[in-house]
Amino acid sequence: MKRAITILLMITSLFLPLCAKGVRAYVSFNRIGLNDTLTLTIEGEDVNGELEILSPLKFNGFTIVGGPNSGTSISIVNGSMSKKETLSFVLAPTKTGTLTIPSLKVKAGKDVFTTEPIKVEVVKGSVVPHRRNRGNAFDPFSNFDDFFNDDFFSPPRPRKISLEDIFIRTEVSSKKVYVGEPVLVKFVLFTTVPITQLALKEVPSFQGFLAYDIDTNQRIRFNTTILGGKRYNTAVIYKKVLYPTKSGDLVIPPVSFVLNAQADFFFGKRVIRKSEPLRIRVLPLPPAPDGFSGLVGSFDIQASVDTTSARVGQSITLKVVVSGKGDLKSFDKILPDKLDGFRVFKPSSAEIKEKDPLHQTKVWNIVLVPVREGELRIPSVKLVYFDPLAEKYITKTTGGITVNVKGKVETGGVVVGQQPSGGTVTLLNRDITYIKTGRLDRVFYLVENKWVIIFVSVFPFVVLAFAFFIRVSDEKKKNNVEYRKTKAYSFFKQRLKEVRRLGKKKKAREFYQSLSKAIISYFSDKLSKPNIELRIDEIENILKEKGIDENLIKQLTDFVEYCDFESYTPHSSGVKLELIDEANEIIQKIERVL
Amino acid sequence: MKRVTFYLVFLFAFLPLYASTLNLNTQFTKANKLYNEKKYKEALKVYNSIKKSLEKKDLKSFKLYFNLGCTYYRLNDIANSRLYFEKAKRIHPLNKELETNLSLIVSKLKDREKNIKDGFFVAFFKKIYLSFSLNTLTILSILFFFMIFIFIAMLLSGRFDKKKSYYGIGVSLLLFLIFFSLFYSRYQFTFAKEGIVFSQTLEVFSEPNTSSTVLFKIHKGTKVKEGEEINGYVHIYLPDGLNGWIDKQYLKDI
Repeated sequence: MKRAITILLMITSLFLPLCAKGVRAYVSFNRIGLNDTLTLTIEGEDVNGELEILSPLKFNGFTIVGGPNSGTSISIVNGSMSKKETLSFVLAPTKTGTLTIPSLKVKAGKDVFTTEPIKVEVVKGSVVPHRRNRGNAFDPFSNFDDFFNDDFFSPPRPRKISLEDIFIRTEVSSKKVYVGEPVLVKFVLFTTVPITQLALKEVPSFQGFLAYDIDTNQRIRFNTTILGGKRYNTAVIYKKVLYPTKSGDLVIPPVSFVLNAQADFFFGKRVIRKSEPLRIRVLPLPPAPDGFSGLVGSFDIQASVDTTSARVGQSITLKVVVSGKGDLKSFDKILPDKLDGFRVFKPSSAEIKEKDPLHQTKVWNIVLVPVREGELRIPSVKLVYFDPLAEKYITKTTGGITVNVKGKVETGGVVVGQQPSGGTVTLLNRDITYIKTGRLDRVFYLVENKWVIIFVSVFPFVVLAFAFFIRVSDEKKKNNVEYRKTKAYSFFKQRLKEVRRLGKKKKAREFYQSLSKAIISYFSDKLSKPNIELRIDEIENILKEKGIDENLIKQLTDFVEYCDFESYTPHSSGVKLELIDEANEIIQKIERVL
Repeated sequence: MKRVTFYLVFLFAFLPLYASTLNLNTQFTKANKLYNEKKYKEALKVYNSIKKSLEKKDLKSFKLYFNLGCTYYRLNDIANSRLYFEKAKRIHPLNKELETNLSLIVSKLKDREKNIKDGFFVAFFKKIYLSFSLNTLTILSILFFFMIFIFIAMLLSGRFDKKKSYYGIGVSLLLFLIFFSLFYSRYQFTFAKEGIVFSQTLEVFSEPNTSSTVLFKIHKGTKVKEGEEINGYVHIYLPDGLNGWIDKQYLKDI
């Protein structure tokens, strides 16, 4: 069957003037039914620039169902490259009979070409068989069907991909919009061949629009559509939301895509397709009322506070939510800068919660701090916008909110949550500080005073001289009889210290010797007699003469004799430190009476 | 009776001193009042008379210098203002208000002064010795100096324990060294030979004469370190090491 169509095409092309370089027009079928469609293709081979039809696009007896779809294909055969620019229309007949597609003036680059008129016979019903859908984007084995069913014994041939097979349509949500009203633009791919790759080649700047991409990462889903008797796989491959910024007739420019079509079993073919440009009419907004926010669409506004009872200095968060269909990005001012009874701390930027660019939600969290007590009222928030459906301005307001403010915050009014945007103190001018008052202070430096210097330099010598003097005089006094008499007890105590030291060293013999010597020396000092001459029996006699208690003398002589005895006994009973205290006790008693 | 006469003599000897003190205080209050009334020139006269009578007795006053600095500033005399603030700084180096005023004056000078930052230890040491007054450090140094000799004397006299005396000498020597180093740094700070330039533009020569090469120029209000003096010329040093000779008459010592 396919072969028959190919032969038919070849025959029709035989009648057409053949030219290597130039523009020609051809149709897919010369005989069609009233329910069928045909594709008119204008093909320019090796022309400079895109094709542009200069003649009015009116085909008597046909209506344009699709197109113009433009395309470019590059093929390299035996090393020579040829480039084909194509423009195609899908036409549906409106009446039966022999209809003529008139000759068209086509401009390609600087050259103007004229195509031949084409005759098409239109009969009742449908004569063009519904071609089976060749290929499904998700079915890599679909080519096998062809292989087994159609051309059973022949190998798969490279298939020509015409504009009819792959084209991109531009669809808009509305062709007549107001300035600022969102327009959803969808670029829909129609294809009969499987597409393995798809990429954006060139996105023009949408002049006169604010353009936002949407659903960029969404998976492309294919649907099946029958158009003009052909079965197409269609998919939305690109979406944009456009907000017109000026009024008048604006054109949505074509977007080019690069596709890799599965032309045959083994080879893909790179195809470039442009979407059709689309003209939309943008209407200016009617004269705006006072307080118009600049928003176009349909919106809702809500305001709420986190608490309706607060203290002075405590922060309250006022949450204002605007949501709806329209562009909220550029809309910012929602509250007046000053509210009676409150300090207003605005957030640096409001949050936009964007689920869908056509339906946005913007949230303002405004911190209010009451400055006085009482019932303070947060006024209602007004939003004026233009509704293109109703074609009029609509005002929406929130109810006013009353906040009960009582007392003060104990902790000195710390703003909880958002920090105030201002608040840092800036230095305006610099100046010297104020003079010092009060009593006049007087400073004099000690180092500058010569008396201090003299004192400091003389003092060490004085002290050292004094010390030296003390030492010399002490030495002298040691030999003075009277001095020794009065100081006898203190000398004795010094000697006892020495005895104690010996006792601690466990030197028993020296201990007892020096203990007895200390006592004798005491009496030597006291009685002004030389140490060597003095013995205990002599002391005893002198003391008796002085009338000292007999018992005390006995105690003393026993003590000294004991010490002498111990000092001469080689195996004595060891050091008895308590003897020192005993000796001290005895001498103390004698010192008192002597 | 003898005692009474002694007290009377004592009283009469110190009464004039006390009276002069009272007099200076009233003058100071008067000058402050004039300053408050924005009569800066009159205030300056009174302040200067106080200064003269203080200088006769070799006395200095932080408050007086501070107020003189403020008054000169109000009279737009930056060099004199700086001179007195610098003088005041030598008495109380860490005074915050003084710091503010000096930084304000320095910002108005033609010569931008290089601030050489001290390392951590130098800054720490500086902070210590500047937070003591010179007299405190003098007294503490003298005290420990005496302590050393007292302990030596104790050792020498032979009446005291030798061990304790040795400990005493060691500890007081250590403390003396610490406080003397602080005292010495503070002394250097207080009596540093520095001056303020009092000429609008002053050429600095390479030799102590005007026929030598002009090395650089300094402007009014700049603080310089002074060195040697020859024939009325003084060798000056800037904080960044630049140095040269200038005529001494354009410089006022701090």
